[in-house]
Amino acid sequence: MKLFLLPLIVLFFIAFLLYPLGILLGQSFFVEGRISFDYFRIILENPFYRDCFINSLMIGAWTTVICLAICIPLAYVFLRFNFPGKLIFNTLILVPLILPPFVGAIGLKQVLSRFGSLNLFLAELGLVNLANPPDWFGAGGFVGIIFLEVIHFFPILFLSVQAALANVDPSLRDAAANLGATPMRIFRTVTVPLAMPGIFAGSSIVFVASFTDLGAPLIFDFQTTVPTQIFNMINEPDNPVGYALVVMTLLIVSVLFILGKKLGEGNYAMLGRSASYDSTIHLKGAAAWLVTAAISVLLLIACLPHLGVILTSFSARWFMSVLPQEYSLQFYKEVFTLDLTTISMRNSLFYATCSAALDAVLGVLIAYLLVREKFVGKTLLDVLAMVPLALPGLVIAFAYYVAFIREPFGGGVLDPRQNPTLILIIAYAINRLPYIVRAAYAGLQQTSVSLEEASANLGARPLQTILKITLPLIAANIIAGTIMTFSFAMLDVSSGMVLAQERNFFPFTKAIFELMGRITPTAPAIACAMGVLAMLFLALCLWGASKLLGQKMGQLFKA
Amino acid sequence: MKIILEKVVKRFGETVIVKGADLTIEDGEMFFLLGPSGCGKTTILRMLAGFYDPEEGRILFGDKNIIGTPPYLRNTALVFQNYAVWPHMSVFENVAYGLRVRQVKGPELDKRVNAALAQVKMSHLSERKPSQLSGGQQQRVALARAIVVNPDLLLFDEPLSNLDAKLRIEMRDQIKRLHAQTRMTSLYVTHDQEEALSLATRIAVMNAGIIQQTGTPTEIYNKPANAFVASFIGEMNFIPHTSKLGQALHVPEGKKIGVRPEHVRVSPQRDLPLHGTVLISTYLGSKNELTIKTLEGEEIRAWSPEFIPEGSSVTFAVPDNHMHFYPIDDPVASH
Repeated sequence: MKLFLLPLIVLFFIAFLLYPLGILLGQSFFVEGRISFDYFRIILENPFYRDCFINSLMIGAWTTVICLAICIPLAYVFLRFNFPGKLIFNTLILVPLILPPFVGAIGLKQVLSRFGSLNLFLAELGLVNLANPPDWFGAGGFVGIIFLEVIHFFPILFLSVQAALANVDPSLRDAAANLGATPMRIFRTVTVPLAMPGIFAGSSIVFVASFTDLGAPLIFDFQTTVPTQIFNMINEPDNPVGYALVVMTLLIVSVLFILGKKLGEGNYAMLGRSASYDSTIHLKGAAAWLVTAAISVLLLIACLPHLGVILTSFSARWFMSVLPQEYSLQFYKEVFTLDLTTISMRNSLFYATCSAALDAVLGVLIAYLLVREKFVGKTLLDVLAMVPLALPGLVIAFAYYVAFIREPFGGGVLDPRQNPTLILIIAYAINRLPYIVRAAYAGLQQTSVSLEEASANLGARPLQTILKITLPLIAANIIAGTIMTFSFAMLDVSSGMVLAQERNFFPFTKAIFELMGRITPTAPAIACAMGVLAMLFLALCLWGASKLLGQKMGQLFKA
Repeated sequence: MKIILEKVVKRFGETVIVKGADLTIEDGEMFFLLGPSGCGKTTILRMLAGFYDPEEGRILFGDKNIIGTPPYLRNTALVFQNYAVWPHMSVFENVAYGLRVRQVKGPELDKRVNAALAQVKMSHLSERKPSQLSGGQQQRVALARAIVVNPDLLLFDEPLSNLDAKLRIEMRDQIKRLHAQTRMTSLYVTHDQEEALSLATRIAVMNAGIIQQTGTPTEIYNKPANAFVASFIGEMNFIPHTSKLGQALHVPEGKKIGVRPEHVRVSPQRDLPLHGTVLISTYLGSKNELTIKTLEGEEIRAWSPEFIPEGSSVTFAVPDNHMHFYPIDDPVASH
């Protein structure tokens, strides 16, 4: 079996990973046939591009720092204490994930803009002077972008910090308490150092994701960031500045990724866990309600964009008032009648389904080869399957675009200008492939080989064993991973923005973006109605995945 | 330091784990809590360390009631079953932790850490990380980490149960020697009777949240207070008065007798009063374990110094001075 499959998988990686990356690097390092760093010098010497990098790095850094400041105490409270509503909060905390930041931006603008609900509400209370209302988005939307990134990404960091803290054997904390360390000292000298690899891994995901997020700066029309400039360069595939920007981004991400790996090497396989006993403390009275109230406020703030989106989608008239003046369902009707919206929703469903299916098949095959087979170049396959972890969606999309519009692929089935369907499916799939491979890999490793041997011993052929024994045993992992691939493909912004150029092929996120650009007054409401439908759909997906995985939800977001 | 538990009750929700325990651990003693898993012995240990507090009763360290005192103010030191050696610190740092917490610094710190490492024969590995150590070595680090702070009470939570048989005996001797040198007041929790019999000054046998008997190892083995203790420690035949064998031995009404297999006399000749055949014979070198079936089809276990093949006819006797009498419905330990 491996003789037949291995070459196919290797070919896949060559065509859709190595080749596009090669083109990308080649175009940015070779100037007129020789190696040169000219383009990078140009970028660094140009004050505008320098500002772009500074802005994007600041967005990444602030987002990460604020997320950490929220998530470490939050995860610690969840780990150590019981308080009213804990179970519900555990689920609600995932809600911000089901809306891409840029759709949230539309809702947020309605709530927080200069004449948005909050200022109008505060004005009614006499706290704000409408002649000169405060600008909550600050610095031309810079604060707004960070706010959006924080509320979108903190659940991901929360899940990894929570997993990292939970992995610290409670008896290691007990040992410190027993030897006289105060709770604060235990947290500082035992809990945090041991959870550090997980915390760092989560932080780097958040940093990279907010650094490379294209949607939020686009909606705020904040042009001085790296992702927006890369996006603009799509129209000039011969301009080397675009390549250099992408490669610089790649460089920053790779450094972070390698740092993370180094730190992860100190990952302490917990040496024989103690018998499990419940070490959570039941909070009572004022303390309990204080925790509950604080988390409720946090979640309320995190759901502001969602509220804004939902209200906008129902509002027939909403101008200079705290809440809409008139409600209507007409925009939902329009979502299902307008060409742009119906086609884009159909497209998104198709792309997401195909990429999830492709990922499931590839993921299981690769994991199976890695765990159960022996062959030359196994490490290489492992590395190839993990490389996309270090490649932000925007980088992959840009690389695909420039690689497949040129010879020998230009004009063929892979050329995104002709028909981006195939290349979009592959882009979505390769983005999430490492996660599925890892899920299947873990599943296979936990499944004892002797279960398969028992099947073979009783006369089952290899394929029968795989179908009847192996797959059912790792099915939960695979299905959950597939659902996540599906959701991420639905939520993706950058791949669709870059690769889908014609309206017929727009995924729904790009259709929302297109609607936002229109001057018709109902366009934002229709966009929001689409956003609400997507939210409902994705909430359903996440709920399904969490049912399958239970408490292991955090695994899906680990890098 | 003398440790006293008075009528200690611990509940988790509805379940009562410890049902009124009274214990006195004398200063310098190596006191054992012995019982099957789930009997409440670890709960008592964790209450002494301060990880839980009891719902009722008092716990005295010296003459001070320490209930409500958080673990880090108790000056106990616990050796964990899974070692709980911090993987991100070197051996030296692990041992130094408790001293640093107590503001010990400089040459004094080095001196005490090195002395503790020398006591457990780990000096040469002080710069290693725990992941480079074997299980036995990690447990020695845990031991050094505990004794270095001079605790008022040294606690052992099944410290040998994750080790293989040979290491277990080595560590057992190490702990014995260490206690002989330091005379630290210790409480040791285990389900392993050999550990208890070989190390303990005194033992309390626990079952189902209740302390069944407290005494020296010989008292516990030779005069078990009830059928549970008798069957949990060592092996014991129980012969109820309702059985044919019980009637032959004149067991009083409503009673059963307990007799240990090593006290049942067996002979291949016909010189003893009771008759049977050997059903199972297991040769173990220093002794032979026999299961003898009586003519009425009842079974009794006996150890004999000489090998007797299966199927042989034998005679046997149960000496009066080795009979223990218990109520017929007195519960026994399930193995």
